[in-house]
Order: sequence, then structure tokens, then C-alpha cells
Amino acid sequence: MTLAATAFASTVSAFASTVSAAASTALAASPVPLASSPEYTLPFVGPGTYLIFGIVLAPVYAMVAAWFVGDPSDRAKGLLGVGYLAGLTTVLWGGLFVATLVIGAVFF
Amino acid sequence: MSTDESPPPGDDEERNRRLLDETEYDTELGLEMGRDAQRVSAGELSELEFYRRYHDRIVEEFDIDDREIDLPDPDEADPDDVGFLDRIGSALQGIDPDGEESRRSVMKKGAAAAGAMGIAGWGTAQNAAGQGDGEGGGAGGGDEGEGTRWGMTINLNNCDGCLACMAACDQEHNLSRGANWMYVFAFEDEGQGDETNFLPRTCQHCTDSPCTKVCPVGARHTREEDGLVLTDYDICIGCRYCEVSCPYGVNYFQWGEPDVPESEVDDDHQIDDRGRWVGSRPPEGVMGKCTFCVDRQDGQMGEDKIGTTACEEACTMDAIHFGDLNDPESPPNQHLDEYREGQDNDLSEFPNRKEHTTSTFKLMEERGTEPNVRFVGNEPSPHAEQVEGPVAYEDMGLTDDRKEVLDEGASATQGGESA
Amino acid sequence: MSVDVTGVDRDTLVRPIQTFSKRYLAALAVGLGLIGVWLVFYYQQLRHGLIVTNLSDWGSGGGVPWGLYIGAFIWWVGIAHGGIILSAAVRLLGMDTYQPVARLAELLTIAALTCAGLFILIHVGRPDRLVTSVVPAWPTRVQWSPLMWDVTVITAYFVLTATYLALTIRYDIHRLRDRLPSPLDPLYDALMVGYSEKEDEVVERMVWWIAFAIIIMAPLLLHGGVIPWLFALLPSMAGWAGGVQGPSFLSIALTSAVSGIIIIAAAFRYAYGWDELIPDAVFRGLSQWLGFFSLIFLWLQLQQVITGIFAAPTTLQHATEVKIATPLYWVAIGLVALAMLYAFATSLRPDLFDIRTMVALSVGVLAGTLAEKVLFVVEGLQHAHFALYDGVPGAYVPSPTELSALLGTIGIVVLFFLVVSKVIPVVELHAIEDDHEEVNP
Repeated sequence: MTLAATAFASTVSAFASTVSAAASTALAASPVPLASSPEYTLPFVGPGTYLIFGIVLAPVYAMVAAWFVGDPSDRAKGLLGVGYLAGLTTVLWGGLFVATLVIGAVFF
Repeated sequence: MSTDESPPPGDDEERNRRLLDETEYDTELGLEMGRDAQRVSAGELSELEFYRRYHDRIVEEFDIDDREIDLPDPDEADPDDVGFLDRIGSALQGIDPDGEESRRSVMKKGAAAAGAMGIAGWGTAQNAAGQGDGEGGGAGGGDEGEGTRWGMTINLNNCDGCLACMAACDQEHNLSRGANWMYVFAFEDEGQGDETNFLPRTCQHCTDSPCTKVCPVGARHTREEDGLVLTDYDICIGCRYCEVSCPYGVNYFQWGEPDVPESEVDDDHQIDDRGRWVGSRPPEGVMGKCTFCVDRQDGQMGEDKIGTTACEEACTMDAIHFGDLNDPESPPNQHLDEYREGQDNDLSEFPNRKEHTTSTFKLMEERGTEPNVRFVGNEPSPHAEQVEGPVAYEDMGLTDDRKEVLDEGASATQGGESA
Repeated sequence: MSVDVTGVDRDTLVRPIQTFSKRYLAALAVGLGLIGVWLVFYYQQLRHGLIVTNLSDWGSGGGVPWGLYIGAFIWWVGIAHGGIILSAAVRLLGMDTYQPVARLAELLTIAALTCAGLFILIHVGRPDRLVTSVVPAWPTRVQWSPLMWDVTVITAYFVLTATYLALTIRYDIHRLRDRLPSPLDPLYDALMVGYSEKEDEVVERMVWWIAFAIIIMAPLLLHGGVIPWLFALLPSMAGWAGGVQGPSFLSIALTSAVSGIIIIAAAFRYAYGWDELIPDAVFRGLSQWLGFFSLIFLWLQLQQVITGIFAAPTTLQHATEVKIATPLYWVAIGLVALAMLYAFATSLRPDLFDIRTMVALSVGVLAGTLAEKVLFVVEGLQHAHFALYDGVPGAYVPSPTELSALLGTIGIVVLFFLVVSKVIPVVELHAIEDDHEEVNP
């Protein structure tokens, strides 16, 4: 389940057999596999979560918020801005998609 | 926390409380269970009662209580039952599906402790036995619950550098020239004179593999059922990030048309039991590497081939041992046990020494990748140098330096223009 | 040291749109020619696979799996940093001196990011899967894969810059509409959707916030973050791992970005006689920035060399020794040092300053940063921690196919500027008409 669970379990069983705490510390510290654990196939668990959505994109959140609040701001213009963001993203990836379809059809 | 010396008894509970506090689970529950488990060992509490007492709270805390206790008749509960503490250990440890090594250690610890309650020297003995790797003790008894984890024990002391394994791998997987999924190093090392050593290198099928982490599309993945690290040839975009992230250099990209065309490769070899295209050589533009013969493991080459690999089969020197590392009776574990048994250490005068004198290692273990290939023999030092072995790659119809092949290909398709 | 160019009239501003010369055609031919050369080679690559490059497998394979393509990818992302730095200098810091080149810089960002993206497309073995594999995997793989972080942040950077441009262009198109070519009216109508003069103040504040967002994102997080993390997070290669890569990549990005702007600005000034619109002071200022960024670049190189040779672990020591024994590395360092020395010398002796010299030195800096980036990628792979393979990767020399892609992307940037300068004013109206309000966010 988690490192914490491993630590918990090992601590309990260590205690149960009157093992010295040194050993259980070593157990708790033993590396827990990452990539193979099923839980890591779930979203929002890796470092990318906070790195990208928490830190890197934080200024963008502030920007979009400022488009709608504060003075002077205008809902219509804010939406125009959001429309540009969404539209350009779509155009970028949509265009790339078409290009890849062509490449795929001709060469693969 | 410095805990080198055995602490005064009163400190134990405090220490355990601190350790338990660090987990996200109920500290009191852990402490109570610990205390009662001691009482079970001392015969003051029945195993059944112990199970009942904590069942509800364990389910509440962990959603599951998989302490594998086969509910004995309370009257017959044997306080000295060695297996009992095993089961507590393994059941609790079983919370983590991948905590295999630690679990094994716990089981051994449980057994040792139950054998002679509260022996202070327990930790030291374990420290010695637990070094190198936690496997191969074989004392734990079969716990099947955790599934298969394919892996290898490669005994370098047996390898004579005949390259039969390389040729077999090349054949079986229809590899293009120079894509040496299995690669045998011949090397000389410092302080060993002119003696040539050998190191067969497959993919290490790491439990914590960097390549699966960095893959942008999830093509490189770990198969959950058995820990194989595979590439989905249908998804891979060929960015080669897995290749640059791998510390071992086991990846071989398909730079051009494969030497063996698609029409000559059976679907049985290519599609695994989940229906994903992960076996045999990759198509053009996609990454390939050793698959631990996934087609064999899925039974697609016949039941008798399960648990074998082409390289293992070709090895006449008993160097390569493939099997389920979770199974104490599997060839890699058995070989290691047998090999160690033949090399007992002198524990009469030096009880703190390892039980055996066998040197084992995993490649670059300090990287934290947790490889599933173990080696018996001498680990190459940073000063080891690759040399020509007794059998040349060319003599086996193999290519060593793939770049030479690729450069030919480049000039062939580019009108004589090559660097 | 603000220089007043507000006396320049509107006709000068739209000169690129209203003139058509043989020189323009010649430039167009060069741009298309470069692209054509690349397409011929790229066609071969698509037909036969990446085997037509000089890339190969590291390890027993004797080559490098990442080479010029990845080096050029980083290089273009670095150049792309110029746009927002200039715009931010104008909009956030009030450095109006650079107003005349702000939009050129923004356009350079878009062109350079396009080229960077193109290099990813060229680099991968299965370009046809770039969308079908990446998009479905995004929600889970962005959690882990640094390459997915790059894809995400570069998309964001591109979209933000384009939005910035799309919003700021409205003000100019509205006021210059009578001077713009009428065949393109549908395009202008689309760009002006919902425009009224009342929006100017609101939009000005919105673009201030975009500039603010990108100025934080771009240097600190993109080229000081996700791009170096592609390498810095991999402990397997001695020359790649480590925290210094962030600042080091950023210094290289800033150096090449300013060089790029100097070259583009000088080209437009020369082509359209814009001596008044883009005065010497802009170039003097830019060259000082270039000198300063070059200094940081060299300082960070020194950091890496000295930590690599004093008492480093074996593989890092070896990697550093090889690096400093590589002549091309010193050529790169020398080119950057030369630009720095000239920039500082002309600060002391202003009469030494010459735009043509500065442009030549900027070209040198770009060559130097490209060389450094490619060496970084290739030599990084050369010093894997697991060093038992017999001297691999071997030597790597980019193939004609790879080099042609570099030419092709340069052609794309040339073509981009030639086309865009015919459609929209590449200098903001604000540069010549100082009537925009100061924005207080």
C-alpha cells in the first residue's frame, strides 16, 4: 500500500518478536518499489503533479484569475482571452494531429 | 536515530511508538497488537483470540485483514508455533504488495525470535544474513499470495564466454544485427592480471525502473502480473528517453527496417497474454530490449517453456538461472542456496560473519533501481576494461558494434553519403 | 536611456507591408530553398527510418541515441526566450527603449518554438504517433515523465505567447487598418472580433498579466526547469546530473535569445531603412545585455569545470576532462567570450560600437551555444556511470540529414518573418505613438 504501511507492519511485527528497534528502522527504510506498484498507474501521484500543476502553471492561474477580477477587467475580454488559450491549444494539437495522420498514411 | 547498542527494555515501547507515529496508521493499534503478539508467543493468549480481537480494527484501518491465520482450535494453539509469528509478520507485511524483500526478512526474523523468545542477538544475526540480498534463505515456506516476479541468478564463476546465450537470444527474437538484447562482456580487471572475466548482461527488469518512469507515453511499462519490464510496440513513439535513462545500456532502437520481416514472425511470439504487442523484435522506429522471453512465460511456446529463457536454455555452463524470485524453490533461488551451501563461512569463531563466502551483487545497486538479476562472482570495478573474449562475436554470427551496421545502412539509403 | 522614436510616422511602420522588392523575393527564395533541402532529406528519413542519421545505440551499440536533433531542440527553445524577456522589459519594467523590437522578439519566440517542436517530430521514430500516443497518455504520464512536462510547458508557453500577440495586435490593426492590404480583410476581421476602443485599457492589463505569467514561467521554470530536468534528473550520466544544469541552461537560453533578437532586428532595420525606428540605442542596450548574460554563461561553465576536475567522482572527472580536451568546446566558449568582451569594450568606448560587428558576433554566439548544447547531449551520453562498454559511444558526427534539419528550421524562421511582416505590423504602434496609458495592475 504505502511506505507508511510497510513501516507500520514491520514495526508491529518487529515489536512482537522483541526485535531491536534498529532492525525495524532498517526495514522501514528499505526502498519501496515505485514503478511496479499498481497505485502509480493512477493519476495525481507522481512529482509531476505538484511540479507542473502546482508550481510551473501557478502563474497562469494567477493570470487567468486577474483577467476576471481586479480593475479594469471585463468578462467578455476575459473570455476572449480564455478562448484564445483554448483555441490555440486546439489548433496546435489539431494541426499536429493532421500532420501525423498524413505522415502515418504516407509512410507507416 | 542511533540504535546501534541494544536499548534498555523500557525504551522499546517508546521507540516503537515513535516508529509507529511516523506511519499514517493507528499507533495504539500497533502497540497493542505488538504486546498481545508477545503474549501469544508466551502462551498467554490464543492465536484465535488474537485474530478475533483485532480483526475489526484491522479491517477499519487497512480495509483488509489478510493475516493468513488458519483458525486453529484454540485449545491446540501452540505458543511456540514458529509459523505463527511468520504469519503475523507476513500478513501485516502483506499490506504492501511489493515489499517482498522486507517481508522475507521479517519472516526470518519472526522464526528466529520465536525459536528462542527475546534473544537479544537476533538483530545482529539478521544483519549478517540479510546482506547482499534478502532472498534465498528458503526458510520462510511458500507464501504464494504475492505473485510471480521473474528474475535471474547469473553465476559468473560458471560462464566461459562461449556466447551461446547471445546467439540463442538473437535467433529466438529475430533480432537485427547488433541489437544484442543479451550481451556478454569479456573484461579484465585491476589486480587480476591477464585473467579474463565474463559478464552476461540482459535487461535487469528493475523493480524500480527509470525507463518506465521517464517514458512519456507509457509504452515502457512493468507488467503487473509478473514484474516483466516490457515495451508496447503499438504505443512507443521512439523518443529513446528510456534508452538514455537506463543506467545499463540495454535498449536497442529499431533504426531501420528489421532484418527479419514481419511476415516471418509469429503472432504467438509477439502478442502477450494481455493482447499487447510486446514480444520478439520491435518494428521500425520503436524501442526494443530483452523481454525475459515473454512469449515463453505466457505459455505460448508450450507449457514446458514457462519459466525458461532462450539464453538459459542455451547455456551449457549452468551460469544462467531463470525463474520466479518469489518462489524459494525456483532455479535462481535454489542455485544461489546450493552455491552458498558449498561455501560455508567459519561461524564457530566468528559468529557475526556471513553464513557463506559467496560474493553476490546486483549491477549498480546504489542506483536504487532494484534489478531482478543477481550475479554470483566478482563485480567489475570502475577500472574494468572490456577485452576480446575467447569467442569473437563475429564467429557466432553476431555483431558487436551496431553503429557499423547502421552506417552501412545510412550510406546505402543516402547515396554514399556517410560520415 | 530611453530613446524617443515617437516622431516616426505610421507609413514607416507599415513599410514592410506596402513595399515589395527583389531583395524580398531573394530572401524568400533562400528561406524556401533551405526548407526544400531539408524536406528532401527528411523524406528519406521518413522512408528509411532514423537509420539515415548518424545516431545509434549507446552501450554495446557504439553510438549516441540523442544527438543534433535534441541539441537543436534545446537551442531553439533557448532562442524562444527572447520574446517575452523583451516584452516584459517594456511592459513590466517600463524599459521603453526596447519597445521597437518587442514584437519582433515575440514573433521570434513563436517561430523558434515551432522549430523546437518540429525537432521533436523529426527526432522520434514514429512521428505518426505523436498525437495518438501522447494525448491519451498525458493524464497519467505527466505525473512522471520529464519529457511530458516539456510537452506540457512548451505548449503552454507557445499558447501564452500567441495569445499575447493576438491581444496586442488588435490595437494596432484597428488604427492602421487603412494601410493594411484589403485582400486579407477576412483575416483582420477575425482578429478584431468584438473590438471596441473601450477594450484597450482592459486588454492592456490582460497582456500585462500574460507577460507577468510568462516571465516567471519561461526563465525560471521552462529553461531553468523542465528543459534541463530532462537531463539533470538522470543520475546514470555523469555529465548530466545535478542542480547546476538549471541555471546553466538558463544562461545559455538568455545568451542565445538576445543574440537572436539582435540579428532579426538588424535585418529589419537594414531591409527597411528603419534607422530611426530601431535606433542605435536599442542595439547598444541589447549588446550590453548580451555581454552580461555571456558573463553568467561563462561563470556557470567555470563552476561545472572546476567541480568536475578538482576531486570529482571518477566518471564525472573523466567526463569533465574529455569536455575540456574537446576543441569544439573551447570554440564555443571563445565565441561567447568574444561577444562579451566586445559588449563590455563598447560600453567603455562607445565609438567602437558597430551594429554589423555586433550582428556577426551574435551569429557567433548562436553557433557557440548550439555547439555547446550538442556537445552537452552527446558527451553526456559518452560518460555513462556504467562504463564497462568498450569506449562507447564512439565518435558522433551529425549526418547530412541531421544538418539539413538545422538549415530547414532556419529557413522556417526566415519564411515566417517574411510572411508575417507582410500581414501585420512587426513593430507596435506604441513605439511611435506614445499614447498608451501606464498600467497599474
